[in-house]
Amino acid sequence: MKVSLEKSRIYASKGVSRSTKESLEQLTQIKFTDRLDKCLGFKMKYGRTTKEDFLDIYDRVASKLASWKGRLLNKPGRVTLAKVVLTSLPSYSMQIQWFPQYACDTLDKGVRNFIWPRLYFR
Amino acid sequence: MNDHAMHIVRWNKIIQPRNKGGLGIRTARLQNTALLGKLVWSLLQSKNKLWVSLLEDKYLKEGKLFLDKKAVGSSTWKAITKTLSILEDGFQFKIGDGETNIWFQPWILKQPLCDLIQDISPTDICLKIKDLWNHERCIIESLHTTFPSTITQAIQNLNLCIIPSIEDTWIWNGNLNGEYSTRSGYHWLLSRHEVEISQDTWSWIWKLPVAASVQFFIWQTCHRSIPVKAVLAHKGVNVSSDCPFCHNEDETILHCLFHCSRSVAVWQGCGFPNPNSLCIGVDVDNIDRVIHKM
Repeated sequence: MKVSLEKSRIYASKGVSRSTKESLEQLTQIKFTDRLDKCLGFKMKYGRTTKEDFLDIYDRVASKLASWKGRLLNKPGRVTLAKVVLTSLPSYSMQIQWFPQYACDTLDKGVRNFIWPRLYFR
Repeated sequence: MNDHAMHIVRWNKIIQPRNKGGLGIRTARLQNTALLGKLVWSLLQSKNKLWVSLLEDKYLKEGKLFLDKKAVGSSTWKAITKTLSILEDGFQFKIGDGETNIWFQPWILKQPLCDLIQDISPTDICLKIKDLWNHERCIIESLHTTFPSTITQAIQNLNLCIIPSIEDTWIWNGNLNGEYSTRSGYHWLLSRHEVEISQDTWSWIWKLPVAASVQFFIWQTCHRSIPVKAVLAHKGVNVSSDCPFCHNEDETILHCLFHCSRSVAVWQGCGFPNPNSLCIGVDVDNIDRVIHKM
């Protein structure tokens, strides 16, 4: 396995002193960073996961649906789209995180509302 | 009713597989758990993954995954322990060469034996499963440690067959080949959540040689959930349930599709026989059979 030192970053918790950081930087040739960014589209996170992290996932799903002009599709088309987009988009983060119940409920609700749009009462 | 659309088929029905009357949509909770199951499976299985050895060194002593259910650690580790507690009934310990220590794995009961027995004699601490048998005779009663009778019985009843060429291993019950996959994990979880056990009487819809939207309509009809006025009124929408064409009867599903003079005319215009001859004595409960017949 090869690690690209240039692309790697170290994130230190609060208590680590500056001199330790510097010596570690020299030793490993990897730079320190103060915030972890996205890696492969997945947010790297240090510490407690918050509600915002999961809402972020939901927002991405919602924006995907809006851009797909789902309203132009018929119902089976929307079902297929919901299956593909809504259940595959979050699956990357679902592989390593336990989604809290509200996050699951929000996602399911998104699927439901997408399948049954407001057509009957227009 | 303005900012809410009507969800005319219940969510619990939709999430069933397509051959059981649903649309095969996966729910987030079960999908999440099934995906995390892959991590649990890797932890139980392979020793040569880098992240597995990292987590083992950090959180597990002697590979006792089932002992450490305390959720302390990173969010991923917490997710793994939580998933394990949900999936553990689906995993089964398969004895091969019997080289596993008897105390730390739940190989005979759902719990590891060291959880159940307080006084383990120091001479027995290194016992392996294969050591419990001497020439096909169970020697558990001659050990220094006293086992509760339930455990002794369970072990004596075990039809053990040591296969020296295969290592002791975990197998996943949800899949025929014993390997965990997200798909089998999901279906295993879903079968435990099944609200109503329905038979495979739905595949025929999806095999009909008609457009997908027609299949969908038939699916909805078989759930008695097309938005005819009687159904809408039943669901609390403020409409009169009169048929808008003949004004004689309520617009039920049967009336709308078959009985109304207008629908009969449509059927016959398309070259079908009068649908009323097909559905004598039919009520809304076996409407799927009528459609099937056509």
